[in-house]
Amino acid sequence: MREYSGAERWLLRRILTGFGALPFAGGQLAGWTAEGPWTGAELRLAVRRLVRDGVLEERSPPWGDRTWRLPAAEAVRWHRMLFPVHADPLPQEEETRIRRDAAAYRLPLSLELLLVWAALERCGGLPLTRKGGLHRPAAARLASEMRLTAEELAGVPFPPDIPAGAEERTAAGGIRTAAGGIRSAAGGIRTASGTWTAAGARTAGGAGEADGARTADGARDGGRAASGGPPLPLGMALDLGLECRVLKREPGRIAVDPAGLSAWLTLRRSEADDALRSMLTERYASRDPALFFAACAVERFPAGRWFRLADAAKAGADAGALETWTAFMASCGWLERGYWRGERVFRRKKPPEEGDGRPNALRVLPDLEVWVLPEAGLRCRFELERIAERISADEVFVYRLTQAGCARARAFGYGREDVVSFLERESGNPLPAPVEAALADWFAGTAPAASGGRSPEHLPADPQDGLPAADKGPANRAPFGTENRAGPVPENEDAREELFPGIGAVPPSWLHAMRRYHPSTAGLLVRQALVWRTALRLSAGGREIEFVPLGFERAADQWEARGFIRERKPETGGGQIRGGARAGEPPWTGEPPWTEEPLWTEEPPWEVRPAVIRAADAAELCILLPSGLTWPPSDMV
Amino acid sequence: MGESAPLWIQSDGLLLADGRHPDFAELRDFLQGVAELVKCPGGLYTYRLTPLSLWHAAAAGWTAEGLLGRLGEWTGNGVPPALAEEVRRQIAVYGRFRLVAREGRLLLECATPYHLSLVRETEETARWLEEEVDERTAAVRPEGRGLLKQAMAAAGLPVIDEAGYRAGGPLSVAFRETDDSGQPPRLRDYQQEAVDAFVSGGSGVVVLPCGAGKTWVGMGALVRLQCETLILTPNGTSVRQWIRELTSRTTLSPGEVGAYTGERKEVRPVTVATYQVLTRRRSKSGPFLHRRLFMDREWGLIIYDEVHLLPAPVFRMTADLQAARRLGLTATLVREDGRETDVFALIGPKRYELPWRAVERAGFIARARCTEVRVPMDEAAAARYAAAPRGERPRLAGENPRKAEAVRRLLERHAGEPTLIIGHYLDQLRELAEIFSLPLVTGEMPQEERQRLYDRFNRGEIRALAVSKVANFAVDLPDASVAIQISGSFGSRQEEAQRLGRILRPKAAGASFYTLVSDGTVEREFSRRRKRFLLEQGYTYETEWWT
Repeated sequence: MREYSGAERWLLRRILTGFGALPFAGGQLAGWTAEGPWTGAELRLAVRRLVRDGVLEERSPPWGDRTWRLPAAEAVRWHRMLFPVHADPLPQEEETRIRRDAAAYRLPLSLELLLVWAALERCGGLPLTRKGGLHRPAAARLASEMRLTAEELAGVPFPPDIPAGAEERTAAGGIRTAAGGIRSAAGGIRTASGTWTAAGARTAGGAGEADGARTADGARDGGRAASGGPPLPLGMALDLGLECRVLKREPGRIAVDPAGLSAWLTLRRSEADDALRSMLTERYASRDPALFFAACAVERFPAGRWFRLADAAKAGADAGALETWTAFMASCGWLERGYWRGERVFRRKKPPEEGDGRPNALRVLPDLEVWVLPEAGLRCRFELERIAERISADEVFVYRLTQAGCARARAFGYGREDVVSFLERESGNPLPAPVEAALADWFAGTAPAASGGRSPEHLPADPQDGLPAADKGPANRAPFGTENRAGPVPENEDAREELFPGIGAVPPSWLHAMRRYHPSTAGLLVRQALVWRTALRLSAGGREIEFVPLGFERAADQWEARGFIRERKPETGGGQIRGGARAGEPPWTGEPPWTEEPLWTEEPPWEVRPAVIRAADAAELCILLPSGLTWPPSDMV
Repeated sequence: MGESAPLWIQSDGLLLADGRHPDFAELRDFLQGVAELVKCPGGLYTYRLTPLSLWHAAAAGWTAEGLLGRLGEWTGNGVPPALAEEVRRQIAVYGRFRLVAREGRLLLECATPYHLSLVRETEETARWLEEEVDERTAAVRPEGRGLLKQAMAAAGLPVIDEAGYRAGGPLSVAFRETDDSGQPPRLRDYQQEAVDAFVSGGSGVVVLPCGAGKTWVGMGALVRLQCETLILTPNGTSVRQWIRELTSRTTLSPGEVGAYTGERKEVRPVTVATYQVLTRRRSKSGPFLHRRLFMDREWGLIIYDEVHLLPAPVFRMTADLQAARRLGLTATLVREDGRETDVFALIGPKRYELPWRAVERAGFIARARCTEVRVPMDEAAAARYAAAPRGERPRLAGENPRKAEAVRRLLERHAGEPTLIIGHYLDQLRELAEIFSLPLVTGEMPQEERQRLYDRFNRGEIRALAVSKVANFAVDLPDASVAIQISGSFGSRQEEAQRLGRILRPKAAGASFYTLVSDGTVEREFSRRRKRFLLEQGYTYETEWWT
């Protein structure tokens, strides 16, 4: 990874705090100059280089303004690098003082969704109306499978309506694990499809609101409530199912996609939850910059320890957004919240130690109950949904083997032997005699259905089957997804001309070194710098300074430029990403105090102060091009 | 689960424990005090935290944080926050309400005026209150002691009943120095524990397996309390057995013990009656003719034998008897009518329970081997079965003629062993009795004649006996070691357990229980349901396919 300039990093920070993954237009970019310390030229160059590197996406529609956007996946990555989190977990002896929120129990989202998707498979898919809408009674039945309530999702912005957007999504959907893995071919762009308008144009308020970009309440559910769409939780279950290709949209229904399901079920539970959390961050939270920022920040706190929410706020996240996001994460079963000495605290849950193909995740009881321990994998759970009746879905799932369950299993192509071998394999024990006898009774005399169901063989025995060899195991996964990036943009003469219109006609000496000019000529330099929104180097009062003009007034030979002077203390090094950054999450030792390893060797901060420069003040001056950009080009010198 | 953590806590208060964990014994001791055992099939235990169990835990001195901390130590997943809140709430509410007797009045004392307002909030509880004595105390209608407690428990407001029990008419009674067999009568340790738990708790239920000596617990309570006692049982046979035990094991003379049944109406210091006689009336809406039995003497103790069979009218009568101590005895606190909560409210909470298999391991009941024998139907019977309306199929399956052949083979297998053949259908029993030349005991047979047959069986003069459902309960046939159930009443869980109980008196060779099931018929599903209680108690069933 190349070095990123201070301006580029400042720009990325500015985008992350103001826009998240939402697009921004040139107008916003111009306004940022006033915030200092970077000149408009430096920011334009930074944009150009980030586009060239595929960090930013650029869109130049035939109509309207050019816009840029930090794709959600990139935004997550850059957030990690640019906003290190520093926080001490609560001492373990203090944990007994935490009063945890007595919220209703919620399953991890991977399991919550698995149950809905299994129900959808059992009922043969969710029928669609002729207009493409969801069949309401069937949708209501499916929705009743979910514990998540609409109230719990109320603060989270939703993508556009499911039926309307589904076809586009399924064209390029895919499973994406947090660390990479299988990714959609066009996820980032697709995610933005519903919101591909500059934030300023989308919101009703002025610049400040545009920058905040919190969507209007009516848009938070993707317009679903107004359009009479599916209940929010079901909408989310379908959306995520389509997004990760477990579900597919057919002309008359939304159904389980066997290939997608098979791939999904190869994931460990923690991988599935990580993937879902990424989707929620990138597809949902990304529609609200503050929420997106909060989501990125929360994700960085190590699991298993309690932290103050205020620590996340110190990293720059909005307190309200943190409250909303952590509540949502708690509803997804991934996080606990509580109060400690009056302060809001949270803890990301540790995923269970997973079976990894080991048996013993099931307990088969002689009274025909089956206990599914937390370490049971997705595949094992999905099979149980097909062959048994669920009694409870809790920390331990409890199923009962019944005649009706066996009839359903037959419809899915299971024979007695399949069920027996599945239960014995997953429990690591022979079946109790009453269970064996019951299965023999219920499967007796009926061969597995030849049609109407699928063979269980499509559920691979090896949890990693179905994945390309290179993707087996996290070590082989790319640290960050880069597939969505645009190709590199060469930085050539045209680019300079584009960044600095008319640069070819400007005397090269204006750009080379400081010189003394006649006040009127000096004024021309200042005006040119103002046009290009770049800085000037000038000597004034016996010292050299960098001055960024923001306004210019002229009277006869006299002129006056208003702007700011920027200075910084002696440099200690460039802004280079340290080697560890590529490995993704910084190492976590689990020992307090916990501080994310800084991913950058930071440059000293700029000091910026407003200034007015008059013609008489400027003894010598020249126009400063952004660092690394020279004129004339080196090949012309 | 497994070696790392033997306990999983569900958000609904179920506690799932792995009985195979090396520390399970310690965990079980802890859980017994704070949760109710639901079942333990296959060595996997299910307990439930209930308001009642938590009130008991509070009464035993547990604080909420102490209990939650201990639960947390045993589990790998922590206590779900909402459940933790419920634990705090239930433990906090315990002790806020007390029934006391003062100056001849029954008073409800509440911790605060707010708590009294909670009782006044609902009609079911408020109706039993009279005027307020002060801002946190109200008088209680004298007849409302039981019903107020019942209603408050249902509303989640547990009352500690400190109004005391009447001492009852005094009765001098002790265990004899030696009984008829020449042995000194002595309670086993668990029986003594059950008596202690009952007496210290005041009233409640003791759950012990069939054959574990529940009658001994009743006698132990009687000896401890030294008061006039009314004993209610399900049938006349049981009345006679109680009387025989009381007069042979204790110092009570025959003149001090009376039977109150259809045939005899003796009211004596210790009276043993049937539920049926108490519920007798001339018309459906008429008064109960023998209700006065409850008032005839100053009973200090009422024992409800086989409390799971307690009829609803007796529940209502029991509500008026809160001044007397009440002891429920059962092997299966499973009521097919689902009225377990009424047992808790009106008789009292479960004071003591030992799982069947635990008693079996200790050698106090016979080690039993349960086998389901699948008997096919012959072609003709199968054709009749297939053509029959749905409602007639259970009977056709139950009376499968080929079961006779299976019985013959089983009798041969256990030749010489005292065997009971238990059935639901009298025709089938008569036919088998005839085929195998067995004496048959049914409800039609006079009690004295039944008893003569039981006595002959106990003396070894009869090696096999066919019995109808009259022998489901309270029949003491200590040497019976084989039971062959040829048909049952649909899916009754307690019936299957009680029938197994007939052969559980300790014996060196163990016991064998067979249930014959017509293969390929609806009887398989009935059988599955019938077996559930015993499976939940930890028994396992082998399956044999008869060919």
